[in-house]
Amino acid sequence: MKLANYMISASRNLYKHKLFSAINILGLAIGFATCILIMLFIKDELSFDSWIPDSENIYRVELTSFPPGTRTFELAATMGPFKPFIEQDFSEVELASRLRYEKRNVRLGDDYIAEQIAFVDSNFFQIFDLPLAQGIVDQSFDDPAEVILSEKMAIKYFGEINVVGDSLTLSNGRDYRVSAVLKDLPHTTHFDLNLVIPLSYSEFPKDEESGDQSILDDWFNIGTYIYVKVDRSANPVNLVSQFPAFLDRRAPRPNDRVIPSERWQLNLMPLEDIHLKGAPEARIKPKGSMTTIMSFALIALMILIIACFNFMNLSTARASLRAKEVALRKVLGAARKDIIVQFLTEAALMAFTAFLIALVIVEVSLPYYSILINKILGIGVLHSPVMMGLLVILTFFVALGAGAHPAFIMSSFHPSRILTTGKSESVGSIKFRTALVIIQFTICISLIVTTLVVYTQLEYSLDRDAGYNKENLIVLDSINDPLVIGQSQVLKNRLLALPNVSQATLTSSVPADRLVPILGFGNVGGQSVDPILLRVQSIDHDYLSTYGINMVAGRNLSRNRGDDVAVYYDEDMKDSNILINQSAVSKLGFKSPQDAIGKRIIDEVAFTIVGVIPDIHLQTTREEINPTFYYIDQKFYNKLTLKISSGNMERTIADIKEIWIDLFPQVSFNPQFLDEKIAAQYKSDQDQGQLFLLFAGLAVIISSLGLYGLASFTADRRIKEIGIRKVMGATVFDVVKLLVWQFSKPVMIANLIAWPLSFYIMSRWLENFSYRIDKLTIIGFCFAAGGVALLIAWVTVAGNSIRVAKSNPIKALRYE
Amino acid sequence: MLKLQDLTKAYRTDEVETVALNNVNIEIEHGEFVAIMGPSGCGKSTLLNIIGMLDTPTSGHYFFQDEDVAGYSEAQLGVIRKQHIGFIFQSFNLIDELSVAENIELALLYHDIPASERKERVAAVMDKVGIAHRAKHMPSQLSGGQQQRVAVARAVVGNQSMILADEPTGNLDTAHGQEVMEMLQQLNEEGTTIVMVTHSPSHADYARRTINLLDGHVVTESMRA
Repeated sequence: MKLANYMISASRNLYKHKLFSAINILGLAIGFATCILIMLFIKDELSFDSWIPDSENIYRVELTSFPPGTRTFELAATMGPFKPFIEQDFSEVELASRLRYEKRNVRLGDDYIAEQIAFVDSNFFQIFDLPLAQGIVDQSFDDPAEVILSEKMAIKYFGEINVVGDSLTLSNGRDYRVSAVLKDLPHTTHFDLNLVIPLSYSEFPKDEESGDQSILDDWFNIGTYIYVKVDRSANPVNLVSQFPAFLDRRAPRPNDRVIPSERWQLNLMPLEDIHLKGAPEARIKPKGSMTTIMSFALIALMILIIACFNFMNLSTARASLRAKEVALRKVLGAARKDIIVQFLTEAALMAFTAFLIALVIVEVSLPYYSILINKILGIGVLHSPVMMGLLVILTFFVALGAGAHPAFIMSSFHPSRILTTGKSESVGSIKFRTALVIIQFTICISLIVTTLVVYTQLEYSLDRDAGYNKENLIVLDSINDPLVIGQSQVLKNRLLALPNVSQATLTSSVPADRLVPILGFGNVGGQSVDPILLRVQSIDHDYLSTYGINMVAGRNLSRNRGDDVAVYYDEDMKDSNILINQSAVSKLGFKSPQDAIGKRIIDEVAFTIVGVIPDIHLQTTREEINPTFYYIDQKFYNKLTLKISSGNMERTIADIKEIWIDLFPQVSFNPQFLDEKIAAQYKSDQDQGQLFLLFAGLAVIISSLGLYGLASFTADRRIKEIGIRKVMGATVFDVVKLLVWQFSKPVMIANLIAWPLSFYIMSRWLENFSYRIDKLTIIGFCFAAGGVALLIAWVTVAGNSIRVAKSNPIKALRYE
Repeated sequence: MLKLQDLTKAYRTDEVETVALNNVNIEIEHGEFVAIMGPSGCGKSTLLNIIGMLDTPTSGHYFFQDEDVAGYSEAQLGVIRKQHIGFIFQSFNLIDELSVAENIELALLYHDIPASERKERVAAVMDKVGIAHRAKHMPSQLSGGQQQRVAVARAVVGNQSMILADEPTGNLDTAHGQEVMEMLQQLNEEGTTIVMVTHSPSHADYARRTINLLDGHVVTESMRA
């Protein structure tokens, strides 16, 4: 029953040194918990779409586009008309299906709510065998008056999920019969399927008035996702190699000079890889980041290592105080093996206690962590026997690794020497411990610098002078809704009559909108050039006044001049006057804004530059300001921006809503403050900043525990020296200074390693931003982080140092 | 030089009170050489610690140069101690990581003495105790006798007027013990007050007065002719 004796002895020992045990176990528990939380995140990120049956044979067709004169676009979506040809031309492709999203308004009682509707081909559910809650999916999901709902939507619109056979009404006046209810998709899916309606020409008709073809037949509309299911034996590489020829055979030429395969490239993206490796643009959901996963894995590993080293450090330090117990046990007949087993038992007891505490920490912190990382994580994964087994094995190895060091050293003590002189051999090398502290603080300091840089860049992005006044601007969307577009001027005028609305402007896009059209100009100022690409922004006369933008040169577009507005005559646009921004001035090759005035640039029609406005930031600080041209074209209005007076915002919005509902009862009302919309673009930066803050905090806590362990270990070792110094006249302050300096050194060395490291990493990170804080500020942050680390180190060791410095020296000096 | 009046020291734990010194009255004149003897546990070391201001009495008075220091704080005692009192221990208590010269210098380090003067005084005192040729050695490279000589040098380098020695020869063989005693005698002749705790009657004979302690009481005092 030796083991029982060890357990008793171990637990009493832990209890006797309560503070020490608590610090030791808590440090390890925090390390374990952090590790488990990060593991849950990583496992979640890696499990996207793999739960879909047959997922390994499903691919998405993605498009890379090389428009001349600008960067490459990697798009998740492609051209819809490919779909039948892919099925026809490749025998390996068993099924191909389109998915296209469009916002529609759905009736709920007297209100209409804007919803993202998924339009899919009839064979979509043959490729994606998704679990149903109610009903069955017809082999031919092709009745245009059919809808499949998710459980969430069924509850939203009907209050229950047993709704097969009920009908939903859209703002186009049509009823859709519910044919099935889908189980809600887990968040580990790259697409959203809330309301699914068959994709058909009745939803995307030809424009009878203009004669424009249906969007489904438009080769130049890139907004359709195509999924293919391939034969189990098919080789996707082989398939992709045939794509260039396929493109040239099936797609129309972009223009006379290039063939399709020169402009475009098709790729197959495996379903399971879409989340992390799929094309970054035109995505359904934001892309996951492999870099984030790797850096999180690295951080998890580092935190676990720090925690294990601490555990080892603290255990060894404490063990050296127990030399006498070991010596007595040996005198009483314990073999070396017994001592080793005893110390390992103790380490295991502590490690498993830490493990249990870690599980509690994980369970308690999971809801908050879920908010922080923006996904709902279940602890369910942990309950699987395999995962649990792995964690138990990990704990066992930690115990072994941490316990082995003291166990083997302590068991090698010579009892006679310890019992006669009372002197224990030195345990472990100070250098090794100091190295560990240096590593820990290098990690801490780097994480603190990272956190500071991420937050400061975020502040900069949000606060920088955007070139316009973004305060008190409210944006209304859905202006391009067929029910709204014709009445947009009426809406604008009625809103302007409100006392709190001072300005209003109709535009094609507003700042922070993602996809904005681009036009190429082959003739500038009468000379032929390689096409120069400019962003196109349709505005109205009140654009500059609403956004508070001043002219740099020339004049604003005027209400009194017919040629200041784009006019169409039989489909064809007539020449008109435009404004350009300063970037466009240099991109087009003009010497100065003044020089550009009166010059003509020609695409198919000629535009005359009448005014130049400053560059304004329409997108995030990551992007360069694009050369842009502004003209007035009512056809492309999408957004209405209102300048309102500060004051009673709720009242103002209620007034605006009243007018909207009066005019467009069937279109949902979605007001958004522009500054909030801009801030939302930085949400992932914000989340990342918060996570770094969390990790830096944890690393600091665990490192402080380690330093505390080292401090108590060396203080105990130096107790005789301190006694001598005190007898020689050293004051408490002298001794504290001595000890604190000893621990300042490793932190200073850590600074010297961490500073260049974090400067390098963070200046690389800042290069992602076209507009960023000065890289030299990182140096300031390095000093700040170094100061914080030193302060933390001082606070950690000061308490212990003061205790040792105050102790009566005679105790240390009387006996050796 | 110092006078102890009705001095009592009691150690208290939760349940028991142990009286280490009970109503002790001792007077020591400037320039005396006093030996304190008695069996283990009689309170010798407690007495020496109180005299050396490393410990404070429970009650009674301790006049050091006519100043009652019995109620002084640790910091106040520290100031007097470092000016007037040097210590020699049975186990030498040298710092293993410092050289001979550095160990001796330690006694000057906390006295606001410029480095150049410190060096001079350390060199002088090393000459005096005959350890100058070992200045750069570490304590572990010295014999016990040499180590104790370093400790003596350290005790006097600050021109302390009193040396307290707690069994200075306890860890030394006869020859080395003799050597250390002779050195203490010489210091005493030069005017240093010496109070020494010892078990050895022959070493106690170097002292001019011997105080015998038993169970915290002074039992006899004897003067050498």
